[in-house]
Amino acid sequence: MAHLESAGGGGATSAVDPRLTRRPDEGREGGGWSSVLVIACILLAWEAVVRLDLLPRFYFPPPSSIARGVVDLARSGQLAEHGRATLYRLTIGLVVGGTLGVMAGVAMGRSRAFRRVADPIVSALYPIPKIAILPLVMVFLGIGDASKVFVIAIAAFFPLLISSLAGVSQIPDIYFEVASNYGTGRLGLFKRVILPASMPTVLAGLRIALNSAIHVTIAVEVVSAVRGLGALVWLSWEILRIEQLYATLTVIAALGILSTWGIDRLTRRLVPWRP
Amino acid sequence: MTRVSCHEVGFRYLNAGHGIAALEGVSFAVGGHEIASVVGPSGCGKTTLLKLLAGLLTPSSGEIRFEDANVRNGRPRNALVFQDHGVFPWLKVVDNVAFGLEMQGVGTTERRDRARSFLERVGLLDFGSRYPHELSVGMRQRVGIARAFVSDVPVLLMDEPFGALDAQTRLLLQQELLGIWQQDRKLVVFVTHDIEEAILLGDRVLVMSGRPGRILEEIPIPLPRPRSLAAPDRPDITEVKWHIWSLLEAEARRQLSIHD
Repeated sequence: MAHLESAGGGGATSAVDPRLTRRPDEGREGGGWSSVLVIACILLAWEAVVRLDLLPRFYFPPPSSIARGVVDLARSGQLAEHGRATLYRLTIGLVVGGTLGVMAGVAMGRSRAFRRVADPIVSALYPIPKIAILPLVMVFLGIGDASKVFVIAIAAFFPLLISSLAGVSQIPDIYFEVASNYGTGRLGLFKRVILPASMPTVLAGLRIALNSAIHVTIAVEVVSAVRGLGALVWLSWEILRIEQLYATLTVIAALGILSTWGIDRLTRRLVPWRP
Repeated sequence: MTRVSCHEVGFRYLNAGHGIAALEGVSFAVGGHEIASVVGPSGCGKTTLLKLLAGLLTPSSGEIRFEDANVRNGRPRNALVFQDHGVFPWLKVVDNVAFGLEMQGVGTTERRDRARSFLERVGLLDFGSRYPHELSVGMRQRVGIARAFVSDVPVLLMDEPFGALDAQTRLLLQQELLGIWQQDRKLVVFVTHDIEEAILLGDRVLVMSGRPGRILEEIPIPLPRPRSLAAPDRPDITEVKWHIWSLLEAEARRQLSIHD
Protein backbone atom coordinates (compact mmCIF):
# COMPACT_ATOMS: atom_id res chain seq x y z
CA MET A 1 0.00 0.00 0.00
CA ALA A 2 2.72 2.40 1.03
CA HIS A 3 4.38 1.45 -2.19
CA LEU A 4 1.49 2.76 -4.23
CA GLU A 5 0.87 5.84 -2.18
CA SER A 6 4.43 6.97 -2.60
CA ALA A 7 3.98 6.56 -6.33
CA GLY A 8 0.81 8.66 -6.12
CA GLY A 9 2.84 11.34 -4.39
CA GLY A 10 4.95 11.78 -7.47
CA GLY A 11 7.81 9.27 -7.24
CA ALA A 12 7.33 6.76 -10.03
CA THR A 13 8.05 3.13 -9.15
CA SER A 14 8.90 0.59 -11.76
CA ALA A 15 6.26 -1.89 -10.62
CA VAL A 16 3.48 0.67 -10.76
CA ASP A 17 1.70 1.90 -13.81
CA PRO A 18 2.98 5.41 -14.66
CA ARG A 19 -0.62 6.61 -15.03
CA LEU A 20 -0.84 6.34 -11.26
CA THR A 21 1.61 9.15 -10.71
CA ARG A 22 -0.93 11.66 -11.97
CA ARG A 23 -4.36 11.48 -10.45
CA PRO A 24 -7.07 11.68 -13.10
CA ASP A 25 -8.98 14.52 -11.41
CA GLU A 26 -5.91 16.73 -11.13
CA GLY A 27 -6.31 18.22 -14.58
CA ARG A 28 -10.08 18.36 -14.29
CA GLU A 29 -9.96 20.45 -11.13
CA GLY A 30 -7.63 22.98 -12.72
CA GLY A 31 -9.86 23.12 -15.80
CA GLY A 32 -12.90 23.67 -13.58
CA TRP A 33 -11.41 26.73 -11.91
CA SER A 34 -10.19 28.34 -15.10
CA SER A 35 -13.59 27.88 -16.74
CA VAL A 36 -15.28 29.53 -13.73
CA LEU A 37 -12.85 32.41 -14.16
CA VAL A 38 -13.62 32.75 -17.86
CA ILE A 39 -17.38 32.74 -17.23
CA ALA A 40 -16.99 35.35 -14.47
CA CYS A 41 -15.04 37.58 -16.87
CA ILE A 42 -17.70 37.26 -19.57
CA LEU A 43 -20.48 38.11 -17.09
CA LEU A 44 -18.54 41.12 -15.78
CA ALA A 45 -17.90 42.38 -19.31
CA TRP A 46 -21.58 41.95 -20.17
CA GLU A 47 -22.62 43.85 -17.04
CA ALA A 48 -20.20 46.66 -17.86
CA VAL A 49 -21.20 46.94 -21.52
CA VAL A 50 -24.90 47.21 -20.64
CA ARG A 51 -24.32 49.69 -17.81
CA LEU A 52 -22.29 51.87 -20.15
CA ASP A 53 -25.29 51.79 -22.52
CA LEU A 54 -23.27 50.17 -25.28
CA LEU A 55 -26.01 47.52 -25.57
CA PRO A 56 -29.75 48.16 -25.19
CA ARG A 57 -30.81 47.07 -21.70
CA PHE A 58 -34.23 45.93 -22.91
CA TYR A 59 -32.84 43.21 -25.16
CA PHE A 60 -29.77 42.42 -23.12
CA PRO A 61 -30.59 42.80 -19.43
CA PRO A 62 -27.38 42.75 -17.37
CA PRO A 63 -26.51 39.56 -15.43
CA SER A 64 -27.37 41.27 -12.16
CA SER A 65 -30.97 41.84 -13.19
CA ILE A 66 -31.22 38.35 -14.68
CA ALA A 67 -30.10 37.05 -11.29
CA ARG A 68 -32.76 39.22 -9.68
CA GLY A 69 -35.23 37.75 -12.16
CA VAL A 70 -34.33 34.24 -11.01
CA VAL A 71 -34.82 35.28 -7.38
CA ASP A 72 -38.19 36.83 -8.26
CA LEU A 73 -39.24 33.61 -9.99
CA ALA A 74 -38.31 31.69 -6.88
CA ARG A 75 -40.07 34.12 -4.51
CA SER A 76 -43.31 34.26 -6.48
CA GLY A 77 -43.55 30.46 -6.45
CA GLN A 78 -43.44 30.33 -10.24
CA LEU A 79 -40.10 28.55 -10.21
CA ALA A 80 -41.46 25.79 -7.97
CA GLU A 81 -44.67 25.46 -9.96
CA HIS A 82 -43.10 25.34 -13.43
CA GLY A 83 -39.93 23.60 -12.32
CA ARG A 84 -41.92 20.82 -10.70
CA ALA A 85 -43.95 20.25 -13.87
CA THR A 86 -40.77 20.06 -15.96
CA LEU A 87 -38.94 17.75 -13.54
CA TYR A 88 -41.96 15.49 -13.30
CA ARG A 89 -42.21 14.98 -17.07
CA LEU A 90 -38.45 14.73 -17.46
CA THR A 91 -38.04 12.15 -14.70
CA ILE A 92 -40.86 9.86 -15.79
CA GLY A 93 -39.89 10.14 -19.45
CA LEU A 94 -36.23 9.45 -18.72
CA VAL A 95 -36.88 6.51 -16.39
CA VAL A 96 -39.46 4.81 -18.61
CA GLY A 97 -37.80 5.55 -21.96
CA GLY A 98 -34.30 4.95 -20.63
CA THR A 99 -35.13 1.61 -19.02
CA LEU A 100 -36.82 0.37 -22.18
CA GLY A 101 -33.91 1.69 -24.24
CA VAL A 102 -31.34 -0.22 -22.19
CA MET A 103 -33.46 -3.37 -22.35
CA ALA A 104 -33.87 -3.12 -26.11
CA GLY A 105 -30.16 -2.34 -26.58
CA VAL A 106 -29.04 -5.31 -24.49
CA ALA A 107 -31.50 -7.59 -26.29
CA MET A 108 -30.22 -6.39 -29.67
CA GLY A 109 -26.62 -6.79 -28.54
CA ARG A 110 -27.14 -10.33 -27.28
CA SER A 111 -29.45 -11.70 -29.99
CA ARG A 112 -28.38 -11.54 -33.60
CA ALA A 113 -31.87 -12.38 -34.85
CA PHE A 114 -33.52 -9.61 -32.84
CA ARG A 115 -30.87 -7.19 -34.00
CA ARG A 116 -31.47 -8.03 -37.67
CA VAL A 117 -35.17 -7.28 -37.25
CA ALA A 118 -34.79 -4.17 -35.11
CA ASP A 119 -31.83 -2.48 -36.79
CA PRO A 120 -33.69 -1.01 -39.79
CA ILE A 121 -36.56 0.12 -37.58
CA VAL A 122 -34.15 1.93 -35.29
CA SER A 123 -32.29 3.57 -38.17
CA ALA A 124 -35.58 4.78 -39.60
CA LEU A 125 -37.03 6.16 -36.38
CA TYR A 126 -33.97 7.58 -34.64
CA PRO A 127 -33.38 10.60 -36.93
CA ILE A 128 -36.98 11.86 -36.75
CA PRO A 129 -37.02 14.99 -34.56
CA LYS A 130 -39.01 13.90 -31.52
CA ILE A 131 -40.90 17.17 -31.28
CA ALA A 132 -42.28 16.49 -34.78
CA ILE A 133 -44.14 13.39 -33.63
CA LEU A 134 -45.89 15.21 -30.76
CA PRO A 135 -48.98 16.06 -32.86
CA LEU A 136 -49.36 12.43 -33.89
CA VAL A 137 -48.93 11.24 -30.31
CA MET A 138 -51.52 13.78 -29.17
CA VAL A 139 -54.01 12.25 -31.60
CA PHE A 140 -53.74 9.02 -29.61
CA LEU A 141 -52.95 10.14 -26.08
CA GLY A 142 -54.71 13.50 -25.94
CA ILE A 143 -53.28 16.89 -25.06
CA GLY A 144 -52.43 16.08 -21.43
CA ASP A 145 -49.17 15.03 -19.82
CA ALA A 146 -49.29 11.50 -21.25
CA SER A 147 -48.46 12.56 -24.77
CA LYS A 148 -45.64 14.85 -23.57
CA VAL A 149 -44.09 12.18 -21.36
CA PHE A 150 -44.37 9.70 -24.24
CA VAL A 151 -42.37 11.93 -26.56
CA ILE A 152 -39.76 12.63 -23.85
CA ALA A 153 -39.47 8.89 -23.23
CA ILE A 154 -38.79 8.35 -26.93
CA ALA A 155 -36.08 11.01 -26.79
CA ALA A 156 -34.39 9.15 -23.92
CA PHE A 157 -35.03 5.73 -25.45
CA PHE A 158 -32.83 5.96 -28.55
CA PRO A 159 -29.53 7.21 -27.12
CA LEU A 160 -29.67 4.54 -24.42
CA LEU A 161 -30.65 1.85 -26.90
CA ILE A 162 -27.72 2.70 -29.14
CA SER A 163 -25.18 3.05 -26.33
CA SER A 164 -26.27 -0.18 -24.61
CA LEU A 165 -26.14 -1.99 -27.93
CA ALA A 166 -22.61 -0.68 -28.51
CA GLY A 167 -21.60 -1.41 -24.91
CA VAL A 168 -22.85 -4.98 -24.99
CA SER A 169 -21.62 -5.90 -28.45
CA GLN A 170 -18.13 -4.47 -27.95
CA ILE A 171 -17.25 -6.63 -24.95
CA PRO A 172 -14.04 -8.49 -25.84
CA ASP A 173 -14.53 -12.25 -26.32
CA ILE A 174 -11.86 -13.01 -23.78
CA TYR A 175 -14.11 -12.00 -20.87
CA PHE A 176 -16.80 -14.40 -22.05
CA GLU A 177 -14.15 -17.09 -22.39
CA VAL A 178 -12.85 -16.49 -18.86
CA ALA A 179 -16.40 -16.57 -17.51
CA SER A 180 -17.27 -19.70 -19.44
CA ASN A 181 -14.01 -21.36 -18.39
CA TYR A 182 -14.95 -20.91 -14.74
CA GLY A 183 -18.43 -22.27 -15.34
CA THR A 184 -20.33 -18.99 -15.09
CA GLY A 185 -24.09 -19.30 -15.54
CA ARG A 186 -26.39 -16.86 -17.34
CA LEU A 187 -27.09 -14.73 -14.29
CA GLY A 188 -23.43 -14.61 -13.28
CA LEU A 189 -22.46 -13.71 -16.83
CA PHE A 190 -24.86 -10.78 -16.78
CA LYS A 191 -23.88 -9.61 -13.30
CA ARG A 192 -20.14 -10.09 -13.56
CA VAL A 193 -19.39 -9.48 -17.24
CA ILE A 194 -22.10 -7.90 -19.39
CA LEU A 195 -23.31 -5.33 -16.87
CA PRO A 196 -19.94 -3.98 -15.68
CA ALA A 197 -18.28 -4.20 -19.09
CA SER A 198 -21.01 -2.18 -20.80
CA MET A 199 -21.51 0.27 -17.91
CA PRO A 200 -19.13 3.03 -19.15
CA THR A 201 -20.76 3.11 -22.58
CA VAL A 202 -24.26 2.97 -21.12
CA LEU A 203 -23.46 5.92 -18.83
CA ALA A 204 -22.09 7.89 -21.78
CA GLY A 205 -25.42 7.15 -23.47
CA LEU A 206 -27.30 8.23 -20.35
CA ARG A 207 -25.63 11.62 -20.57
CA ILE A 208 -26.81 12.04 -24.16
CA ALA A 209 -30.25 10.67 -23.29
CA LEU A 210 -30.64 13.13 -20.42
CA ASN A 211 -29.63 16.10 -22.57
CA SER A 212 -31.90 14.95 -25.35
CA ALA A 213 -34.76 14.48 -22.87
CA ILE A 214 -34.23 17.99 -21.48
CA HIS A 215 -34.32 19.46 -25.00
CA VAL A 216 -37.54 17.66 -25.85
CA THR A 217 -39.14 18.43 -22.48
CA ILE A 218 -38.59 22.15 -22.92
CA ALA A 219 -39.64 21.95 -26.57
CA VAL A 220 -42.95 20.18 -25.90
CA GLU A 221 -43.64 22.65 -23.12
CA VAL A 222 -42.99 25.60 -25.40
CA VAL A 223 -45.33 24.11 -27.99
CA SER A 224 -48.16 22.88 -25.81
CA ALA A 225 -48.12 23.32 -22.08
CA VAL A 226 -49.54 25.64 -19.49
CA ARG A 227 -46.98 24.70 -16.86
CA GLY A 228 -43.30 23.90 -17.13
CA LEU A 229 -40.14 25.89 -17.74
CA GLY A 230 -40.71 25.71 -21.50
CA ALA A 231 -44.21 27.13 -21.01
CA LEU A 232 -42.73 29.88 -18.86
CA VAL A 233 -40.30 30.74 -21.68
CA TRP A 234 -43.19 31.10 -24.07
CA LEU A 235 -45.32 33.05 -21.56
CA SER A 236 -42.46 35.49 -20.92
CA TRP A 237 -42.17 36.10 -24.64
CA GLU A 238 -45.90 36.64 -25.03
CA ILE A 239 -45.99 39.30 -22.35
CA LEU A 240 -42.56 40.55 -23.50
CA ARG A 241 -40.85 40.15 -20.15
CA ILE A 242 -37.38 39.74 -21.58
CA GLU A 243 -35.75 39.67 -18.17
CA GLN A 244 -37.94 36.78 -17.06
CA LEU A 245 -37.18 35.05 -20.37
CA TYR A 246 -33.47 35.24 -19.62
CA ALA A 247 -34.05 34.15 -16.04
CA THR A 248 -35.97 31.07 -17.19
CA LEU A 249 -33.29 30.17 -19.71
CA THR A 250 -30.74 30.50 -16.91
CA VAL A 251 -32.72 28.04 -14.79
CA ILE A 252 -32.84 25.61 -17.75
CA ALA A 253 -29.08 25.95 -18.19
CA ALA A 254 -28.61 25.27 -14.47
CA LEU A 255 -30.72 22.14 -14.86
CA GLY A 256 -28.35 21.02 -17.62
CA ILE A 257 -25.24 21.70 -15.56
CA LEU A 258 -26.72 19.95 -12.54
CA SER A 259 -27.63 16.86 -14.54
CA THR A 260 -24.17 16.64 -16.11
CA TRP A 261 -22.62 16.94 -12.68
CA GLY A 262 -24.94 14.23 -11.37
CA ILE A 263 -23.99 11.84 -14.16
CA ASP A 264 -20.30 12.53 -13.54
CA ARG A 265 -20.78 11.58 -9.90
CA LEU A 266 -22.76 8.50 -10.87
CA THR A 267 -20.07 7.47 -13.35
CA ARG A 268 -17.32 7.76 -10.77
CA ARG A 269 -19.40 5.67 -8.40
CA LEU A 270 -20.42 2.96 -10.83
CA VAL A 271 -17.18 2.79 -12.82
CA PRO A 272 -14.45 3.16 -10.20
CA TRP A 273 -12.23 0.83 -12.18
CA ARG A 274 -11.61 3.17 -15.08
CA PRO A 275 -8.20 4.86 -15.15
CA MET B 1 -5.44 -39.05 -11.01
CA THR B 2 -6.35 -36.91 -13.97
CA ARG B 3 -5.56 -37.87 -17.53
CA VAL B 4 -6.25 -35.92 -20.66
CA SER B 5 -5.76 -37.55 -24.03
CA CYS B 6 -6.25 -36.29 -27.57
CA HIS B 7 -6.96 -38.76 -30.36
CA GLU B 8 -6.42 -37.51 -33.90
CA VAL B 9 -7.91 -34.14 -32.94
CA GLY B 10 -8.47 -31.69 -35.77
CA PHE B 11 -9.99 -28.24 -35.81
CA ARG B 12 -11.05 -25.96 -38.64
CA TYR B 13 -11.91 -22.30 -38.23
CA LEU B 14 -14.71 -21.03 -40.41
CA ASN B 15 -13.58 -17.87 -42.10
CA ALA B 16 -15.89 -16.24 -44.67
CA GLY B 17 -17.23 -19.64 -45.72
CA HIS B 18 -13.77 -21.20 -46.03
CA GLY B 19 -12.54 -23.59 -43.43
CA ILE B 20 -9.00 -22.93 -42.28
CA ALA B 21 -7.34 -25.95 -40.72
CA ALA B 22 -5.77 -24.90 -37.43
CA LEU B 23 -5.01 -28.38 -36.10
CA GLU B 24 -4.75 -31.75 -37.80
CA GLY B 25 -4.34 -35.21 -36.34
CA VAL B 26 -3.14 -34.11 -32.93
CA SER B 27 -2.63 -37.03 -30.56
CA PHE B 28 -1.00 -37.03 -27.16
CA ALA B 29 -1.76 -37.81 -23.57
CA VAL B 30 -0.86 -36.00 -20.38
CA GLY B 31 -1.67 -37.04 -16.88
CA GLY B 32 -0.92 -36.98 -13.21
CA HIS B 33 0.79 -33.94 -11.74
CA GLU B 34 3.07 -33.20 -14.61
CA ILE B 35 3.77 -30.03 -16.52
CA ALA B 36 3.53 -30.61 -20.24
CA SER B 37 4.99 -27.81 -22.31
CA VAL B 38 3.69 -27.24 -25.81
CA VAL B 39 6.07 -25.34 -28.03
CA GLY B 40 5.58 -24.35 -31.64
CA PRO B 41 5.89 -21.51 -34.13
CA SER B 42 3.42 -18.66 -33.84
CA GLY B 43 0.08 -19.35 -35.47
CA CYS B 44 0.46 -23.11 -35.19
CA GLY B 45 -2.77 -23.55 -33.26
CA LYS B 46 -1.36 -23.74 -29.74
CA THR B 47 -4.08 -21.45 -28.38
CA THR B 48 -6.71 -23.40 -30.33
CA LEU B 49 -5.45 -26.58 -28.71
CA LEU B 50 -5.82 -25.09 -25.22
CA LYS B 51 -9.30 -23.80 -25.99
CA LEU B 52 -10.25 -27.30 -27.15
CA LEU B 53 -8.88 -28.77 -23.91
CA ALA B 54 -10.74 -26.11 -21.92
CA GLY B 55 -13.98 -26.91 -23.71
CA LEU B 56 -14.32 -23.41 -25.17
CA LEU B 57 -14.14 -24.99 -28.64
CA THR B 58 -15.27 -28.39 -29.92
CA PRO B 59 -12.98 -30.48 -32.14
CA SER B 60 -13.96 -30.73 -35.81
CA SER B 61 -12.61 -34.27 -35.86
CA GLY B 62 -11.14 -36.76 -33.43
CA GLU B 63 -11.85 -36.68 -29.73
CA ILE B 64 -10.50 -35.49 -26.42
CA ARG B 65 -10.88 -37.87 -23.49
CA PHE B 66 -10.70 -37.04 -19.83
CA GLU B 67 -10.20 -39.47 -17.02
CA ASP B 68 -10.53 -38.20 -13.53
CA ALA B 69 -10.97 -39.95 -10.27
CA ASN B 70 -13.63 -37.42 -9.24
CA VAL B 71 -15.38 -36.78 -12.50
CA ARG B 72 -17.13 -39.47 -14.51
CA ASN B 73 -18.06 -38.92 -18.13
CA GLY B 74 -17.27 -35.26 -18.06
CA ARG B 75 -14.65 -32.63 -18.26
CA PRO B 76 -12.73 -32.14 -15.03
CA ARG B 77 -12.70 -28.55 -13.88
CA ASN B 78 -9.92 -26.63 -15.48
CA ALA B 79 -8.66 -23.09 -15.42
CA LEU B 80 -7.24 -21.30 -18.40
CA VAL B 81 -4.61 -18.61 -17.86
CA PHE B 82 -4.66 -16.23 -20.79
CA GLN B 83 -1.81 -14.49 -22.51
CA ASP B 84 -3.01 -11.10 -21.30
CA HIS B 85 -6.22 -9.18 -20.60
CA GLY B 86 -7.60 -12.21 -18.81
CA VAL B 87 -8.39 -10.36 -15.58
CA PHE B 88 -11.61 -8.36 -15.33
CA PRO B 89 -10.81 -4.63 -15.18
CA TRP B 90 -14.00 -3.97 -13.17
CA LEU B 91 -13.19 -6.35 -10.32
CA LYS B 92 -10.75 -5.55 -7.56
CA VAL B 93 -7.67 -7.74 -7.53
CA VAL B 94 -8.98 -9.85 -4.64
CA ASP B 95 -12.31 -10.43 -6.37
CA ASN B 96 -10.58 -11.28 -9.62
CA VAL B 97 -8.58 -13.95 -7.81
CA ALA B 98 -11.74 -15.14 -6.04
CA PHE B 99 -13.77 -15.25 -9.27
CA GLY B 100 -13.38 -18.98 -9.83
CA LEU B 101 -14.39 -19.69 -6.24
CA GLU B 102 -17.38 -17.37 -6.55
CA MET B 103 -18.56 -19.31 -9.60
CA GLN B 104 -18.16 -22.51 -7.58
CA GLY B 105 -20.54 -21.03 -5.02
CA VAL B 106 -18.02 -20.34 -2.24
CA GLY B 107 -19.26 -17.63 0.16
CA THR B 108 -17.87 -14.10 0.10
CA THR B 109 -15.80 -14.20 3.29
CA GLU B 110 -14.28 -17.58 2.63
CA ARG B 111 -13.40 -16.92 -0.99
CA ARG B 112 -11.82 -13.55 -0.17
CA ASP B 113 -9.78 -15.14 2.60
CA ARG B 114 -8.57 -17.84 0.27
CA ALA B 115 -7.85 -15.29 -2.45
CA ARG B 116 -5.86 -13.15 0.00
CA SER B 117 -3.76 -16.06 1.19
CA PHE B 118 -2.88 -16.75 -2.43
CA LEU B 119 -2.19 -13.09 -3.13
CA GLU B 120 0.31 -13.28 -0.33
CA ARG B 121 2.04 -16.16 -2.07
CA VAL B 122 2.44 -14.16 -5.28
CA GLY B 123 3.49 -11.03 -3.37
CA LEU B 124 0.37 -9.01 -4.12
CA LEU B 125 -1.31 -8.98 -0.72
CA ASP B 126 -1.14 -5.17 -0.49
CA PHE B 127 -2.82 -4.81 -3.85
CA GLY B 128 -5.98 -6.77 -3.08
CA SER B 129 -8.27 -3.76 -3.07
CA ARG B 130 -6.74 -2.18 -6.15
CA TYR B 131 -8.17 -2.35 -9.62
CA PRO B 132 -6.16 -4.08 -12.37
CA HIS B 133 -5.37 -0.84 -14.22
CA GLU B 134 -3.34 0.22 -11.20
CA LEU B 135 -1.06 -2.80 -11.64
CA SER B 136 1.80 -3.45 -14.03
CA VAL B 137 1.42 -6.10 -16.74
CA GLY B 138 3.52 -8.56 -14.73
CA MET B 139 1.38 -8.03 -11.62
CA ARG B 140 -1.80 -8.56 -13.63
CA GLN B 141 -0.40 -11.82 -14.96
CA ARG B 142 0.25 -12.94 -11.39
CA VAL B 143 -3.38 -12.15 -10.61
CA GLY B 144 -4.43 -14.42 -13.48
CA ILE B 145 -2.18 -17.21 -12.23
CA ALA B 146 -3.37 -16.79 -8.65
CA ARG B 147 -6.98 -17.00 -9.84
CA ALA B 148 -6.28 -20.26 -11.63
CA PHE B 149 -4.45 -21.85 -8.68
CA VAL B 150 -6.84 -20.70 -5.97
CA SER B 151 -9.81 -22.11 -7.88
CA ASP B 152 -8.43 -25.50 -6.91
CA VAL B 153 -9.02 -27.21 -10.22
CA PRO B 154 -7.10 -30.35 -11.20
CA VAL B 155 -6.09 -29.07 -14.65
CA LEU B 156 -4.37 -25.77 -15.42
CA LEU B 157 -4.10 -24.62 -19.01
CA MET B 158 -1.65 -21.77 -19.56
CA ASP B 159 -1.52 -19.88 -22.82
CA GLU B 160 1.82 -18.07 -23.05
CA PRO B 161 1.13 -16.38 -19.73
CA PHE B 162 4.54 -14.69 -19.74
CA GLY B 163 4.57 -13.83 -23.43
CA ALA B 164 3.88 -10.13 -22.94
CA LEU B 165 6.45 -9.59 -20.20
CA ASP B 166 9.96 -8.21 -20.30
CA ALA B 167 12.80 -10.70 -19.91
CA GLN B 168 13.52 -10.06 -16.21
CA THR B 169 9.90 -10.14 -15.07
CA ARG B 170 9.51 -13.28 -17.09
CA LEU B 171 12.36 -15.02 -15.27
CA LEU B 172 10.88 -13.97 -11.92
CA LEU B 173 7.44 -15.28 -12.77
CA GLN B 174 8.81 -18.55 -14.16
CA GLN B 175 10.55 -19.05 -10.85
CA GLU B 176 7.40 -18.09 -8.98
CA LEU B 177 5.29 -20.49 -11.03
CA LEU B 178 7.71 -23.34 -10.33
CA GLY B 179 7.53 -22.53 -6.63
CA ILE B 180 3.74 -22.44 -6.52
CA TRP B 181 3.42 -25.62 -8.54
CA GLN B 182 5.92 -27.36 -6.28
CA GLN B 183 3.60 -26.70 -3.31
CA ASP B 184 0.34 -27.23 -5.14
CA ARG B 185 0.84 -29.85 -7.81
CA LYS B 186 -1.60 -30.00 -10.65
CA LEU B 187 -1.69 -31.18 -14.21
CA VAL B 188 -0.44 -28.21 -16.21
CA VAL B 189 -0.44 -27.79 -19.97
CA PHE B 190 1.84 -24.84 -20.65
CA VAL B 191 1.84 -23.34 -24.13
CA THR B 192 4.77 -21.17 -25.17
CA HIS B 193 6.81 -20.22 -28.21
CA ASP B 194 9.96 -20.02 -26.05
CA ILE B 195 12.03 -23.22 -26.19
CA GLU B 196 13.97 -22.48 -22.99
CA GLU B 197 10.78 -21.77 -21.09
CA ALA B 198 9.27 -25.03 -22.37
CA ILE B 199 12.32 -26.97 -21.14
CA LEU B 200 12.63 -25.16 -17.81
CA LEU B 201 9.02 -25.81 -16.83
CA GLY B 202 8.05 -29.03 -18.55
CA ASP B 203 8.40 -32.67 -17.65
CA ARG B 204 7.80 -33.19 -21.32
CA VAL B 205 7.91 -30.90 -24.30
CA LEU B 206 5.42 -31.42 -27.11
CA VAL B 207 6.80 -29.84 -30.26
CA MET B 208 4.19 -28.64 -32.74
CA SER B 209 4.49 -27.98 -36.44
CA GLY B 210 3.32 -24.87 -38.24
CA ARG B 211 -0.28 -24.57 -39.40
CA PRO B 212 -2.08 -26.87 -39.49
CA GLY B 213 -0.58 -27.84 -36.17
CA ARG B 214 0.48 -31.42 -35.55
CA ILE B 215 2.63 -32.89 -32.80
CA LEU B 216 6.07 -33.38 -34.33
CA GLU B 217 7.72 -34.98 -31.36
CA GLU B 218 7.31 -35.59 -27.67
CA ILE B 219 10.52 -35.02 -25.74
CA PRO B 220 10.98 -35.97 -22.08
CA ILE B 221 12.99 -33.51 -19.98
CA PRO B 222 14.96 -35.51 -17.43
CA LEU B 223 15.58 -32.65 -15.00
CA PRO B 224 14.96 -33.31 -11.29
CA ARG B 225 12.41 -31.31 -9.32
CA PRO B 226 12.34 -28.83 -7.68
CA ARG B 227 13.90 -26.96 -10.54
CA SER B 228 15.76 -23.68 -10.54
CA LEU B 229 16.37 -21.29 -13.39
CA ALA B 230 19.89 -22.73 -13.71
CA ALA B 231 18.65 -26.31 -14.10
CA PRO B 232 18.59 -26.37 -17.92
CA ASP B 233 22.28 -25.45 -18.14
CA ARG B 234 23.34 -29.12 -18.25
CA PRO B 235 25.03 -30.21 -21.48
CA ASP B 236 22.47 -32.94 -22.22
CA ILE B 237 19.67 -30.38 -21.87
CA THR B 238 21.44 -27.98 -24.17
CA GLU B 239 21.44 -30.80 -26.69
CA VAL B 240 17.69 -31.21 -26.23
CA LYS B 241 17.30 -27.48 -26.81
CA TRP B 242 19.15 -27.66 -30.12
CA HIS B 243 17.17 -30.69 -31.12
CA ILE B 244 13.88 -28.81 -30.55
CA TRP B 245 15.25 -25.86 -32.45
CA SER B 246 16.18 -28.09 -35.38
CA LEU B 247 12.55 -29.29 -35.42
CA LEU B 248 11.18 -25.76 -35.33
CA GLU B 249 13.73 -24.07 -37.58
CA ALA B 250 12.33 -25.43 -40.82
CA GLU B 251 8.82 -24.33 -39.80
CA ALA B 252 10.02 -20.90 -38.80
CA ARG B 253 11.88 -20.47 -42.10
CA ARG B 254 8.86 -21.61 -44.04
CA GLN B 255 6.76 -18.93 -42.31
CA LEU B 256 9.36 -16.26 -42.97
CA SER B 257 9.45 -17.05 -46.66
CA ILE B 258 5.66 -16.87 -46.84
CA HIS B 259 5.78 -13.38 -45.41
CA ASP B 260 8.65 -12.19 -47.60
